[in-house]
Amino acid sequence: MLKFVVRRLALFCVALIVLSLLVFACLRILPGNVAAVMAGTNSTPERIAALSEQLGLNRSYPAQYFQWIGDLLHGNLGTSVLTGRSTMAETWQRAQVTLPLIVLGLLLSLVIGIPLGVVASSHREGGLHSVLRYVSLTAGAVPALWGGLLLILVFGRGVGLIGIFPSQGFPEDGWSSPASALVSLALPALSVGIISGAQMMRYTQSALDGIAESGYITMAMASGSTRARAIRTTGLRIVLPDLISVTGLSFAQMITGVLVIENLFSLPGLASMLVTDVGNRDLIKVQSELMLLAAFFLLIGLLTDIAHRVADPRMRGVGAESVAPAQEVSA
Amino acid sequence: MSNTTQGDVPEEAAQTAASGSTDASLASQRKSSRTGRARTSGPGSDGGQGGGNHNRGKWIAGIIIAVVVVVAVILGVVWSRRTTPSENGASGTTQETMTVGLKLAPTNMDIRNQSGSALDQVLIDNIYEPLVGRNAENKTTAGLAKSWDVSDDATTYTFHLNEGMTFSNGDALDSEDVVWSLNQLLEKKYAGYDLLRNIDSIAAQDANTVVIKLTAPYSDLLWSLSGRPGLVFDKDAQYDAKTEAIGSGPYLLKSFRENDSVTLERNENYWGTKKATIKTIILRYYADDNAALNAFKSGSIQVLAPVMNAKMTSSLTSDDRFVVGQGDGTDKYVLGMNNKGTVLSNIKVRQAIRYAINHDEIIASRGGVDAALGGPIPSLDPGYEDLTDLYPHNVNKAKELLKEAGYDDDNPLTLRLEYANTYGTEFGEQLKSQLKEVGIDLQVKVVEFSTWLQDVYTNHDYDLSLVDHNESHDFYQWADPTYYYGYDSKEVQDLYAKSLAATDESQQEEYLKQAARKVSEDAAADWLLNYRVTTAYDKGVTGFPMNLNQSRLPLASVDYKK
Repeated sequence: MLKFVVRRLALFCVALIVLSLLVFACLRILPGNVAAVMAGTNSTPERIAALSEQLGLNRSYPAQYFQWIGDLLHGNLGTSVLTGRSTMAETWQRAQVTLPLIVLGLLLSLVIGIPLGVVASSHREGGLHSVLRYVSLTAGAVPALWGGLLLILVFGRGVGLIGIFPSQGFPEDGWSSPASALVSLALPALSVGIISGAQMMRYTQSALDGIAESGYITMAMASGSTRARAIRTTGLRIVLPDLISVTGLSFAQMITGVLVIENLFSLPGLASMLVTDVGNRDLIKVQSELMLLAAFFLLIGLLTDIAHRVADPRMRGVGAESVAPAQEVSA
Repeated sequence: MSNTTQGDVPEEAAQTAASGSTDASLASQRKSSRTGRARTSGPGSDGGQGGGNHNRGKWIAGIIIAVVVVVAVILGVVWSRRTTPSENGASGTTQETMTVGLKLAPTNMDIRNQSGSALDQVLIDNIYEPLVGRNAENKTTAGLAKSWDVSDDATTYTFHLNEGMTFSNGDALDSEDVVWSLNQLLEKKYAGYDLLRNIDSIAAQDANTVVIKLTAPYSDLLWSLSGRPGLVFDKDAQYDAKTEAIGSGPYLLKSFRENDSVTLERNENYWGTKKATIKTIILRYYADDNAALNAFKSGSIQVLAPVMNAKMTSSLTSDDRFVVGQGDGTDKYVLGMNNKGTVLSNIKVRQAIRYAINHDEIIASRGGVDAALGGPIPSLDPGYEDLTDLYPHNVNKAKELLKEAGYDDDNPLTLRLEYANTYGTEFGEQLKSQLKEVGIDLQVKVVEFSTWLQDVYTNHDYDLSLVDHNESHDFYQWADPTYYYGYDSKEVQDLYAKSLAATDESQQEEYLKQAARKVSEDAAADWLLNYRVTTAYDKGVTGFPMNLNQSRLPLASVDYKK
């Protein structure tokens, strides 16, 4: 286990270094620069030149890169050229909106997806099975933007039929008024949760269906379970590691996926910050933000893999590269 | 725990699974064997299956209760929503807080360095005050200076300041601060420094008198001092201008969250006689137009400026909770042409484009509230004249001119249009189809603003471009051949110089009029429209500025009663 963690940590660092180069290079390809944005359309070329000099945009790329990496290693993510605030503080402020949103969305998707997946898998035939299948297909195919709009039309305060949830913004004072903060995340989290819940449900169902034909279920039934019960207890336990992996993946997916949702509900989150910053060519800030996000992604991946191994006793002692598929056991 | 018990069960269990029914005797049997099996089937095996009718009854009761609760909540909410509007009278008490929904967000609060009208909108008149004031008709009025004298040769301006003025931190505001602010502007080349021309000296005569001496008359001096260049800052205050603001205005900057909101709080120690009416005003920025509309309709904001499109406007005018109106502005949607470009240096092509564009159609498609504009000067600026009849929509004339320039069906003209994505894709599509009628193939490229700045504004690598030039008194663009239009006319440059040197207003306007006509005749660009901002507000709101409110938004006398 220790060896596995060390291996993964090494990979983690290599990935970060490669990423930093990629991020730096890709952003330099973009046309335009922050000095021009700052100066606007009434400026003289002299003013833009003066600003570029002042902001250090005239230095060579390697010099800029190494300065940035050096700062990063010292834990200094830099300050935004435009807002004058430290990247870390701003990212943290934004993350307080986005991370709870993702976690809520994920919880909802688990709450919706896993039970329904189990139900769908336990009813192999009949009306309920096909109803659930169509529900999951439909809900999974809904674009987040449209789903969010529908939710606003139904539940949005002041605009919806049953206007009980605010559809716009995040409270001024953030989480110091937890109730209103939570309520303002309700609709966004629902839009995310329902869609990814449908995917989670399909995944749970198909994983359980796969297990249902195996000896595990037969064995459980041989020990006195009904089929439904065997699937719920034995089956779910067996597919748990896979579900953990999928959950980890959808967590990562959501970080990018909530962009549309943040815009629609005008939430001051990470995604909207990134888009604005790229638009303003506040490159140092964008770089640092992307590195933070990338590190976060990788960390989630690492934690998921560890959780996976903890949840699946068969994985213990297996090398990182050879992840064995669930072995068939017959009764 | 005996093997025989377990061995007996399977057939029965299989039967149960197949039939899906629960058998009480089987359940009891299972319970007896549970202690032995608990270990193998893992946690969570309790509950669930056991118990027949009793549990089902519980379930049904639970569901009924849940349904009742949900229905009660819905009814309650619907009922409470019904009753609130009836309490909304026209008269009531002034509210402590009002929220205003806006579109373009400032990236920081540093008004001396950061460009963009979003900053002027929030800060000028509310937090910082200029030496000379400006009213809703875009004319100068008393500001920090209550009056001023101008010498006969128009080279000496003597400003008489109000007495007893203070900054929000308690420091006194006197002539020293004024002189320091203006000199800093020129010295450090802050935003707008180029608007103060011909300055010879700026000096304090006494604590309440400032004298500005010019090397030559400059007719736009007062107007310039009513904007950014005239702002007065506290010489002795130390603060981070990107996130804080210390000024002399009726409001204080309480908090600023970039791209999200600005919170203003009444300056209880404001030096003026009239303090701000509403205690707290929150300006909230919406990148998404639908989000803004939803926020407004739901009552979480009381004012929405601008309402972005015709469809949204009509959905609000029919609602008697709201008032919707339009105000004039100086936003000129300029279809810039590269006057130094290979194709567009030919005046015939430029004229053809102007004839080809159907302005009425563009304005109508946006809801018909914008004004037609035939030249570089909008109605709120000096030198305005209706020039829309210079190039009326005329497809045949456009084709003729193109033919003279050497383009026809066999040799069609292809042009590039590049503009920033903030203006939406509709303009590009409309222009493409309108120019297609005269045989021009328009290739539209919608890019980020920063890309546009690089390609068009800095590198002049474009044929056509579209920008909302919203600044007032910005005719200098046409007198500067290095500006991205590349328009170089000696006559216009001379006329503009004369207008700046004019010593009385009518003279100044006359020269500007002639210059504007010349620019338009030369088809240096096309002016698609003069944007008029649509503002919607709650019935309880009064005194909200309608004109120019995207670049200047004095909030002190706005009231919101409920």
